[in-house]
Amino acid sequence: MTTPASAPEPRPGVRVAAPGAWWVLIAGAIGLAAAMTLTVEKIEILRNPSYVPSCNINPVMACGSVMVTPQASILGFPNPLLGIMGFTVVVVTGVLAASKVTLPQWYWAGLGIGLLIGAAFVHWLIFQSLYRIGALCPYCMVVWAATILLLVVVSSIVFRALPERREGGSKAGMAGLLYQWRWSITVLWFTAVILLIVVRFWDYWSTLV
Amino acid sequence: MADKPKRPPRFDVKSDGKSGRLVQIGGTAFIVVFAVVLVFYIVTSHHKKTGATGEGDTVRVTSSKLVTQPGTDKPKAVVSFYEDFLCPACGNFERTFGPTVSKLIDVGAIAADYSMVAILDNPKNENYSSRAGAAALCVADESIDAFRRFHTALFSANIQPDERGTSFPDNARLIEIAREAGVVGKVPDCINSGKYLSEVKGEAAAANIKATPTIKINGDEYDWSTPEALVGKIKEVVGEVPGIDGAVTPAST
Repeated sequence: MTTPASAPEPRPGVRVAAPGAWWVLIAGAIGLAAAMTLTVEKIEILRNPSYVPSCNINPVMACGSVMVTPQASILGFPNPLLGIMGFTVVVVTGVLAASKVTLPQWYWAGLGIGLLIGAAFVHWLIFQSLYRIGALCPYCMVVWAATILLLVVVSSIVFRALPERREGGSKAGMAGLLYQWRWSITVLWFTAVILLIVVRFWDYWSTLV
Repeated sequence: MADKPKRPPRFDVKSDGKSGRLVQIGGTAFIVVFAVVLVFYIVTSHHKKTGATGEGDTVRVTSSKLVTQPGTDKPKAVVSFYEDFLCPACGNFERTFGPTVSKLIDVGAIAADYSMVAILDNPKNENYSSRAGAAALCVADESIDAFRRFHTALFSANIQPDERGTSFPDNARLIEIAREAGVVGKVPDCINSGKYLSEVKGEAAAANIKATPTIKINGDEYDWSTPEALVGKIKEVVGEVPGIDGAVTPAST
């Protein structure tokens, strides 16, 4: 049993396996690209109010009607700016992890907390988009998916780096259970969101078939 | 996190190995398929029950005093209106006959069936006919009273657009008119999603309507002349009904 009480030597960094690192890098890059596109489209709309964004596909898939809502600038400036900042950090982290640079555990924990806040925000946006605005914005949905995936991957990295409690054993308790079932939970979560979207806009989808 | 090192883990990934992974994947896939099938079943069966009011895309307006055929709940007189919200003749008809028709409904003399047709749809008018018709069905889904106000509003002289004009109310304006008629609810979604567009576009062909307005009394085409004549014709069908006498002069606008 190692108790980390008053350990003077610096904690070892977190070693991230290649798949995890690449996950972080790729998901971060996709999220960054989506946030960039949204920002550029927002600027185009501001420059020319009659501009039709590239993601206005049909009455339901219409980022134009989503981007002009108050929910799209909740802190007083367009939300995608937050995305550009956040996903840039994620991309840099992904690059470092993929090139085997070990980062301290507090760094990964901090990133995990940031992603937790991001995921909470994303779920608020999902709710607003579905039930208050009544339209979907494709790029926003890319950001939703990237944020949720990143939360799962980064929290797994943080969890794996936690000190082992029993020699050779896995970590017990709720967190261990969550970790073990993380991909099942993720798949069910995505299924739930997709089904909410299907049900919410069924009137429209049913006209397409 | 449980901080009890002595407690043995309830779950152990490593001891389960391959079969544990299979259980995870299989279980997850099963729940996903089950959820998808369940939701689709609920949504499709629910959708059939709602949908358009009345037959096809017809909105039936009646009052509680409706005169019915003895021993049944079928109305003695069903007056069907096939109208295009863009057609000038329909506007004239509604502005002249609307108050009288409304009164005939309210005294229970007739059941009015409104069918929204879109024979004047054109990209030049931004397909106003079908958009307005579909919007009326959306409003009717929420409230028949609101439908009556909405229907009257769309044919009012200051809202009905000129057939050859250049500006036509967009969906946002239709939603606003619906709001003024007293409904919001699902109306904005219904209008924006184009829920009834295809039904309205197909209505003229489905009902074999060549011109608007077409008025039918119990299925027979009625050649309309004046509101007084309409009241007389209805009296022939249903007999005396309290309050039926006299046409209502439309308020001059």
